[in-house]
Order: sequence, then structure tokens, then C-alpha cells
Amino acid sequence: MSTSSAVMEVVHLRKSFGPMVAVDDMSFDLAAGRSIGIVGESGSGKSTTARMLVGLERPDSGTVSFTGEGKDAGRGTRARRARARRIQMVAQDPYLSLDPRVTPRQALERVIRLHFDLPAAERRERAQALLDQVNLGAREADALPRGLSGGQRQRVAIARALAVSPRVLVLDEPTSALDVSVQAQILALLRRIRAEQGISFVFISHDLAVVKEITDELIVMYRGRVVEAGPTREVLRRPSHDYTRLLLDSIPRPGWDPESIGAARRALAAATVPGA
Amino acid sequence: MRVRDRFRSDAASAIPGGDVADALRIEGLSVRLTRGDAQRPILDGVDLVVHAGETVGLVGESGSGKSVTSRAALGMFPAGAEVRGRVIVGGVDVVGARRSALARVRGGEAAMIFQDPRAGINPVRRVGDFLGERMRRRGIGRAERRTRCRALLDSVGISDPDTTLRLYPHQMSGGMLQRVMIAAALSAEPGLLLADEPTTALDVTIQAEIIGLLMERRAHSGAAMLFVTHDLELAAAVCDRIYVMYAGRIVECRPSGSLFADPRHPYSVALLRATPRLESEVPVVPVPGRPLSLAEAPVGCAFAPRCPHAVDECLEAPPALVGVGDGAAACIRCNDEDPRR
Repeated sequence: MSTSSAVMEVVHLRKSFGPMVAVDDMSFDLAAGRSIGIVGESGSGKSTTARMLVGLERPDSGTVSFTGEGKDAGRGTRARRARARRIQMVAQDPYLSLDPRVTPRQALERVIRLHFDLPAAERRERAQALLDQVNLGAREADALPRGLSGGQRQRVAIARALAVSPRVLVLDEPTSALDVSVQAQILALLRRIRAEQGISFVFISHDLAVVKEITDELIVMYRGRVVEAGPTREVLRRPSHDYTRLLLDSIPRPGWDPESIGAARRALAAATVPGA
Repeated sequence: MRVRDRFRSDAASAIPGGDVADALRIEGLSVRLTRGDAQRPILDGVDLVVHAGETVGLVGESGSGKSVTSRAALGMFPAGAEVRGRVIVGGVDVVGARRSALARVRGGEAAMIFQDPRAGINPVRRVGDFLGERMRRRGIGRAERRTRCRALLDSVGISDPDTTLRLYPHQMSGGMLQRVMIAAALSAEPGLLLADEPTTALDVTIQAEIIGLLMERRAHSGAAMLFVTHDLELAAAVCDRIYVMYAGRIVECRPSGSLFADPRHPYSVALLRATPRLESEVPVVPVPGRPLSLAEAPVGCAFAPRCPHAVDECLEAPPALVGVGDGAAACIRCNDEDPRR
């Protein structure tokens, strides 16, 4: 998958918690403006991977590096801020990820002040531009998070992540707490942002139908390991691993057979010894 | 009252064959919060029927009133709400029913499976105590309770019932616990099963397994089911008929197949277009605008501000359900040549 325009290279990431290997040998390249999906069930290691990418979790071994820069793993304030300008994350639950006492406008201005040395007027302008970009009106911009809906909060989280103009945005199930129609709005917003800014996405999800909407490439994880990887459409059309097939069969549709899915899941779990 | 009566008679003629042996019959149900800044009722003249043995879906987004509707079947209404209409379960109108009649409905006629199994079980009691509670109150002895509980767990595919009976809820996965809740709900052999987003909190593969179990057990017991979800695909896979709700009203009621093949209400059309589907090559299309808050009380159709087909007449009065093909839709234009254009 290596390309000359890669913005991020992930090499042999591994993380264990006690005897449990959460992520084992995760490698991929992410090209500028591309979007890669990581799918799997609870405990597959997809969220641990996301946390290692943004530096919330330190890998036992392996590296996450950004082209044009050294493989720094610094923990100081300066290193952390530099990392923040390369990669940002949008969390799953919009009800937990915002400070309840800070309005969206204030939140954005704070992030901008922390990272850029700008006069107040320009700071305000920049915050307004971000609010416009995610379609938040004046009322929402100056309301406290409790006065906002789930979809509006997720827009705030996206604007806040974009405030430092990162090269990579990690989205950890950004729509799984939202209604279908709101999910569609957020997906459309993300599509537009990617087209306008050439930003790269790492999109974590358990929902293949959503991943199909927003990614070019796909990594399927099962029990900490990559079991399948390739162009999203290829993987969905011709899955090669049993687990990918199980995920595809699990999506409800008229005439599906949920009982055979249960049998297939148990057969797969029995055949796969965890951590082996 | 006059408006509601007219609405009811329209709807009754629009919903086919709704008088024989119904597991649940809701007629003209309106629920209004008397406190806060609510300007419109959370339910507004809801008519809904679940025939005996039938599986019916109730689909809508957060705030559409779908959960309030399903809870109404157990006589559970928001505190201090003003309730009008009838909710008949097993021959009992639970609106304004006496405590003893309500207890009979909740303890036998109808049972509910909630979204979060952990919210419906006492975390400091063992699974065995939870499952055997009703039996103990009926005076069934300890040994007999144990046998019955074991059989219940066995029926929902729990392979080691003896160990499971001794577990506390926190020692179980969400999927396992939901199996226990299904076993508990079916233990009283209810005529009506209410399932409120029973798999939303679970992984997709586990969801499939739990739905499979629920469908199999329901068919085995012959109970009717009202299946509440925001997931149209899931509803279509599980249900015979689907009601679509928007802003406290039923906007469409159709057999699952025809709702998908030929939705007639613009909101149903928009919802289907916003749902990501593996088979589809077309990207999802967001529904423009935002859902109606309780503080907004439009005179006309609640969906009109977001509707691409709205005309002046839509703003005059809320549209009544009218018959369309094999169901009903609440849109004055639902019988136009092509409402999607």
C-alpha cells in the first residue's frame, strides 16, 4: 500500500494490557487526502489502534510516523502540541467529549490561541470560519453543550479537531450514537471537508455500510490482528476472510438469516485461539 | 375532540382488518407534558394495532415518540403527563386503569425488553434471583424455581445454566445479559412482547444472534411483538408491518416489503435515502433541516419545513392518515403520481 505521498506510516504496532494482546502487528500507510477504515467488533483492537495513532496510548513496540518528520515519541508539551497539529481525533460520544461549561465558539478560540500566535480579531475570524464550515449557526455557536443536539455536538467536535489544520483526522465511531438522518448529515459534512481540504481520515467503525460511504481502503481487525486489508469496495464485494464474511452477513436486510450468523460466529471463535 | 374523532375514523378505515384478536390496540393516543416549555403533545392522535402473533415495527428518530408509544402499552406514561385516548392490552384499557389491572398487564399480558439490559436488572442480585423472582412471589418452591430457571436459560441458548444462575450482571457480557432479559420477558408467556431497540448497544454479529433468538423464541411462543427501532433495515428484516413516526404522529403504516419498495410519505423516502446500504452505489442523502423540537407547534404538517414536495396546503392543517395501496400515509400528496419526483 506504500505510496510516495504517504502522510502517515504505521509500522508493526503492538500493544498489550497484561496478558491480553489488544493490537498485534498493525501496519499501514495513509496517503494525503485518502480515507482508510478500520472495522471490527468490541475488543478487536480498533479503538486501541486509534488511541495509539493520536498518542493517547503508548505502543509496546512499533511506530507511528509522519512524513517529513522524525519518529519522535516525545512526551513534553512541545512534542504533544506538534503531534496535535498533525493528527486530531473525534470521539464516539458527543455527550462526553465537550466541556459542559464552554460554548463551541469559546472552545474553538481556545484551541486556536493554544496553537497559533494570532491577534484576537483573526482568532475570532478563524473560529467563525470553522463554525461556518460545519454549518453551526450563531445560536448554536454561543450555546452551552447541554443546549445542543447530538449531531450539533459532533459538529463542534469536528470543528475543534479541524481548528489546528491537522493532516490526519481519526474518527472513532463518530456517528454510532446518532440517528440515521443525523448520521447522513455528518457523513456528508465529512465528505465535503475531505474534498475541500485534502485531509486524510482514519475512520473506526463496526458498521460496514457506513464505512463503505466514507473510506477508500479498509482494514478488518479480529482479536487484535489484521485479518484482511484492501480497497474498500474490493473487500466488501469479495471478502476473503471468514470474519469479514460474517460481518457482511450480520447486516440486517430483508430475508437475512440471523440464526446461521450465530453459528458462524461461534465456529469462528472456536477456531481462533485468542492471542495465538 | 372533534379533530381527533375525525382523525380516528379516517385512520380506522385506512388500517385494514383491525378488529379481531388484537394483542395491542392504541386508539387516538395523545400525551402532553404539562410542565416545561412543550408547545405540542409528545404523542398526537396515535393509532396503532398489533394483531395476535404479528410482528410490527415502530420506526422513528430520537424524540419521534416511538418509545413513549411502546411504554404506553404497559401503562407507563411520563410523570405528570396529560393522556387521552385508549391503549388496550389483553382486553384492558391501561389508560386510567386500576393498579391491580395494571399489575396484571405488566405481570402477564405484556413484557418489555429494553435497549440496555443493565438498566433493567438489579446489579446486586444474582441472575437466578432475578429470573426466579416472579415464581417466588407465586409461591413456587426453591427446587422447582431452579429447574424452571435452568430451562429458561437453556431456551435462550445459554450453554451452562447452573453457572450463569449464580452470576451477577456485571460478570456477563451485554449479549449474554440480553439473552437473560429475553428469557425473563418470555417466562410469563405474554401475549405481547415489547422490544425497545433491544440490540442497539450490541456488536453487529451479536445483534444478529440476539435478533435470531428473539425471532425464534417469539415464533415458538406465538406472542405478538412491537419492535421499536431507529434502524429501518433492521425493522424490515424482522417485522411484517412497519409504522413510521415523526414528531409524535404516525406518518406511514405499510407491510415491510412495500414500505421499502414504494414508500409514500416523503419522510419515509428521506429516511430510506439517509440509510447507508451495502448494496447501494449511491451515497447517502441527508434529510435537510432538523427534527421538530417540543417547543415548536406547527399548524400544518410537521415535516413540511423539510419536505421537498411541500405546497401551501401542507401548512394549513396536519394531514390525516389516508389509505395508500396496502397501508396508510399521512400526506396530502401521497397518492400523487410520484411523490419522489
